[in-house]
Amino acid sequence: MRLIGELFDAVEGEGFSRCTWVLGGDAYLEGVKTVGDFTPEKIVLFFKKYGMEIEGQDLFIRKYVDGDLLLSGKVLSLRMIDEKGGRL
Amino acid sequence: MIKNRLREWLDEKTRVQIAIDGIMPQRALLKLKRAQIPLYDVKKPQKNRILFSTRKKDSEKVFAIFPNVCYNSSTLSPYVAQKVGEKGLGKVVKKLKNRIGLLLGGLLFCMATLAADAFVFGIEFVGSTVYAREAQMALEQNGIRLFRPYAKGNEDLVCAQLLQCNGVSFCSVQKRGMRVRVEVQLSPFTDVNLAQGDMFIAYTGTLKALTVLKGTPLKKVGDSVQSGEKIVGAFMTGENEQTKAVPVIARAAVACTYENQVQAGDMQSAFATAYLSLGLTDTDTIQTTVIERTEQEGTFHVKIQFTVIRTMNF
Repeated sequence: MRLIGELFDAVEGEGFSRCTWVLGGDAYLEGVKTVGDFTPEKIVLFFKKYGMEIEGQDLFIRKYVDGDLLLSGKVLSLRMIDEKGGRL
Repeated sequence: MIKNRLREWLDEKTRVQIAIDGIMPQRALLKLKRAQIPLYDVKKPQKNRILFSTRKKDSEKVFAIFPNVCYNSSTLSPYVAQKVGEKGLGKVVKKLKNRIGLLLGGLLFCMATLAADAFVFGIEFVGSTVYAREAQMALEQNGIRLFRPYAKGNEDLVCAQLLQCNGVSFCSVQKRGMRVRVEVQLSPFTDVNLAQGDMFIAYTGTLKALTVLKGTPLKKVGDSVQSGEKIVGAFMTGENEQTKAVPVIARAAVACTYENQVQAGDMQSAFATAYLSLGLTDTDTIQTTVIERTEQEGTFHVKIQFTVIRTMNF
């Protein structure tokens, strides 16, 4: 995955977080600072610079440890938000 | 030492399910994250409740961060953590501890079954049962007996003995569960050696039962028979009064009475002498025995009522 490596080299120090999505499956997110909102239909996660609003069905956190979060459920939409929860 | 390690390992494999109640309970996750407590299966079933699992050793930290105010009123916290249940190996161990009697009973049953499996609790004859008695003897001679441990490895010896019998073409001895299965098959081309001639009875008495499969009965049940008398003829009469010679297949039961003066030292010897003179077999039965001393020294009056069963090709 040389391309991903180059991508992260370019944004190093900018406070971006790495997210890996498996279409129709789980999502693995690094650098989660807080969980803003949490229902089976919607999860709001905050990272260092930005936030993320995830909508779907039967969402739940399979594992959450030390800023690493494994999300399970059916993800339908994903929206980036600012630190205060406003739309970008 | 081992016990402690086992307990640690069990704790590692056990997950404690915890519920946190409060306004916006997801905010409680931040504190748990800062405490570096791994959380599993985080769900929000209600607006003011969040459910998650954590390792057993970490659950103590969770309760330290969010104490239950009901038990410790001096500590104020916006969230209350409650233990809901356990998951994983710990739950299984706990369930097994609660059902220790059932578990021990099951184990005992399994052990008893395994132990009983080595014994013989029944012998089953399959195929032809003509040589059932010979098979029984062969089994006993080779150490395979009822209610005894199964003598493994002697099956071939039993089969070798049975295969020597006239007409036996196949033999197999197998232990199936707690029973021994003996299968004997006769060759369809075997000449059957049936005894020829009429059926005679060697005892004097009353005919109690007569079963004739082949041949012609010459006496009826209730008739008295004399020793050496013919009771079944080796012929059958057809529709046109034609007679045809057939081998007799019959079974007769005769009720007899032995009455005699026997010279002997004591009553037992007198009975033994009389019994031996009767020539009884295993199938014959003695109904009554009366032994009386006579006036003559060393002489006993012996009266034995018995039933003899005699067969011919039966």
